[in-house]
Amino acid sequence: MTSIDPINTFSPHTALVVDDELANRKVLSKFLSKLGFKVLEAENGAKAIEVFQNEEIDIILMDVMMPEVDGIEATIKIKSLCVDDLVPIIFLTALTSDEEMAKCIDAGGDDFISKPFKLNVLKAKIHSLDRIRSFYLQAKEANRKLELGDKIAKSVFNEAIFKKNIDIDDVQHWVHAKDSFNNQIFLISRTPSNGINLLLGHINAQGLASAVGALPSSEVFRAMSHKGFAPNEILSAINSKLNTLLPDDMNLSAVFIHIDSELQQAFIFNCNLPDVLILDSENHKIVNKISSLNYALGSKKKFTFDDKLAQTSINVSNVIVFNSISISQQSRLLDYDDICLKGSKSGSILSHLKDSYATQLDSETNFDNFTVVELPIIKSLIPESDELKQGINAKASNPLNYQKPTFDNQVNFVLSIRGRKLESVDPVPQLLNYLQSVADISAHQEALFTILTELYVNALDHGVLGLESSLKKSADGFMKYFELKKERLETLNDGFVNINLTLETNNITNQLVITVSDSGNGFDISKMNLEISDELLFSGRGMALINGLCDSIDVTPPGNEVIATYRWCAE
Amino acid sequence: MSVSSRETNNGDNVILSIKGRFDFNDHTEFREAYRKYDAKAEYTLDMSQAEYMDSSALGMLLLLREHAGGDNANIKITDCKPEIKKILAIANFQKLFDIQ
Repeated sequence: MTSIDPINTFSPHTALVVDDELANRKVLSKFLSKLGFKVLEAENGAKAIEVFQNEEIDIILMDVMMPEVDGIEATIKIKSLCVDDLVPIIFLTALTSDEEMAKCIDAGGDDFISKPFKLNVLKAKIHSLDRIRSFYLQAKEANRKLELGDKIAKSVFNEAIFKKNIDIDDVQHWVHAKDSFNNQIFLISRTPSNGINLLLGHINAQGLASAVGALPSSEVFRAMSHKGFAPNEILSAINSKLNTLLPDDMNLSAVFIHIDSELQQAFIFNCNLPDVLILDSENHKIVNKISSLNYALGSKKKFTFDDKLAQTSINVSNVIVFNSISISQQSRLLDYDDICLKGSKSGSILSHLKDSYATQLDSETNFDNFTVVELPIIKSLIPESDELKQGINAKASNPLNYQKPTFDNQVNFVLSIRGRKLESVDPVPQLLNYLQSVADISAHQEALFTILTELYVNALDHGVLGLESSLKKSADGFMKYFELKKERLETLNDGFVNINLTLETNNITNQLVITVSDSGNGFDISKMNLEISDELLFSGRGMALINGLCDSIDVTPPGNEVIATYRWCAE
Repeated sequence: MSVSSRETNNGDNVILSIKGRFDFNDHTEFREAYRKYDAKAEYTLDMSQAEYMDSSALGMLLLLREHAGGDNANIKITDCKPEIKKILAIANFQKLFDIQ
C-alpha cells in the first residue's frame, strides 16, 4: 500500500492545476511540488483538455468558474477521454450550494474542496484519491491476469483437450455452458485391442485452475489408452496425478467407460457423477443404472478400482447415456430418466433433453456447465480389424485381455528344472526371491506366489507326470492323486519344466510375464476352465485362479506352454 | 506349512490354525488334522498366520467341508490376509463357507 510520506510521496506523478487566477495556480503548484509532484498548469478548461491529451496526468485540481470552457465542461470531456484509467479530479470551488456541488460530482469529479481551504485538508484528499486510484489499478491488473488465465484455459480446453479427440460420429454430445468458456473434459480414445475408452467429467474449479487438472488428466488418458492399459490402471494413474497436482478441495468428477471390440462388455466407472443409464433402444427400457461407487478422482491418495466390479454386459440394441452434472444440482433436472426414455422412442435422447430443459436452463443462470453424452452401441463404433489373431488366445473373448503396453526396461530370469531334480526342488520361493531382488513386489507377493505355484504345479502334474485332474473328484481320489504323484516323481528320469520371468517397467506400470513350458504333450485347451463353476469339484480351479489374479493368460498350442501377464502400477 | 488343532466346548468347536504356505504339499497333514474330530463339530479355520494359498488348498477346504457334513457343514474361515481373501472370492467360496 501507499505509504504517506509527506516529502516526495508522489515523485513520479504529474499533477495538473487548472485555474484562471495566476496567484492561485502558483500557490497550488508550490504546494504540490513540495509533495513531490511534477506540476503542469492551465488557465482555463480548453487548455486543460489540451494538456491532458498531450501529457500523462495523474491528478487534476480544477477550478469551477473559468472563462471559455469552465471546470464542469472540461471535466466531462476529460473523463470521457480516459475510459481505461482513473484520473482523479478535485474541484476547487467558491460555490457553496448543494446543487452546485452535486453538479461537480455528476460531471465526473471525484471530490471537491471549498475555497478558502487549508492545504493539509487538500493533502489528505489527494492521498485518499491516490489510494483509490491504486486500488483501481490493482484490480485492473488482477482482472487482466484473470482474463489472460481464462484465455489460456479456453485455448487449453479447445486445442489440447477437445481437438485431439478421435471423431467417432456415432457418439453425440450436448454441452450446456453458460458462457463461451467450457470447463468440461470429454475424451475418446481407441485402444490397441480395438475397443474404445471414453472419459467425461468436470473439475470443480474455473478458468486456469480447471485447465491445470484437465490437461494432465487428458494426457494420461490418451497415453495409457493408446498403450492398452486396463481401465483401473488408467483411473489409478489419473487419480494419483491429480492428487499430487491439485489442492485438496479440487478434484475431477468423472465417468470412465471402456467398450470392448465385440460390443458385448463395457467397464463403467462412475466417480461422483449422476447415474449412467443403459437403455434398450428397441423396447425402450432402462436396463441398467450405474451409480457412483467411487470418490471424485484426485480426492484421495490411493484408490482401488476393480475392473470386475465395473464390468457390465451390453449389446447392440443398447444406448448408454451419461452426464457431468454436479451431483448437487442433478435433482433440479426433474424426470431426467423419463425424458431419456421418451427421447429414445423419438430417436434422439439429447435433443429431447435439450428441448425439455431449455426454459429452465435459460432462467437458472447459476446452473453449472455440464455435458450429456449419448453413446449408441452400434457396429460402426468399431472399425473392422484386418489383423489376424496369432496362435490360440485363451482369453480372446475376455475383455480383460489388453494389448501389451510399451516398456523402457526389461530384466529376464530363466529357470529350468530337469529329471530327478523335479522331485526335490520347489522353484517358487526361489522365483519370488529373484523378483524381490529386482522389484518392489511386497504388495503382490501373495498373488505372485499363487500364480507361480499354479503354473508350476500344472506343468509338473499334468505336463511332465501326466496326472489327470479327474482323479481328484472324490476325497479318496484326492489322496490317490497325491500318492500317484509321489510315486511318479520317485521314478522320474526325464522331462523338464522351464520357467521364464520377464519383468518390464516404464514410469507408469510394471509388467511381469511368466512363461512356463513343460515336456508334456499339452492338453485340450478347449476343456480348460477359466471360470469358476458352481460345481463342488475338488479340482479344476487352478487356471481360473490364475485368470482371476492375472491381467491376461495365453496358452500356446499344443498346450504345453502358458504365458501369464501380471501388471501393477509403478509408484 | 503347519496345521495345529485344538477343541473347545467338549469337542463342539474345533479350531484349525494354518501357518505359512497352504498348498499341495500339505494334503496329508491337513486331512489328519481334521479327521480325528466329530463331523458335527463347528469348525473354525484360523488363517491369521497363513501366508499363501493355492488351488489344491481350495480342494482341501472342500474336503473338510465334506467331512463336516457337506451342505450342513458349519465352517468359519477367519482372519484371512487380503490376498487369501481374494483367492477365496475368485473361487466363490463365500457361498460355501462363512468367511469372516
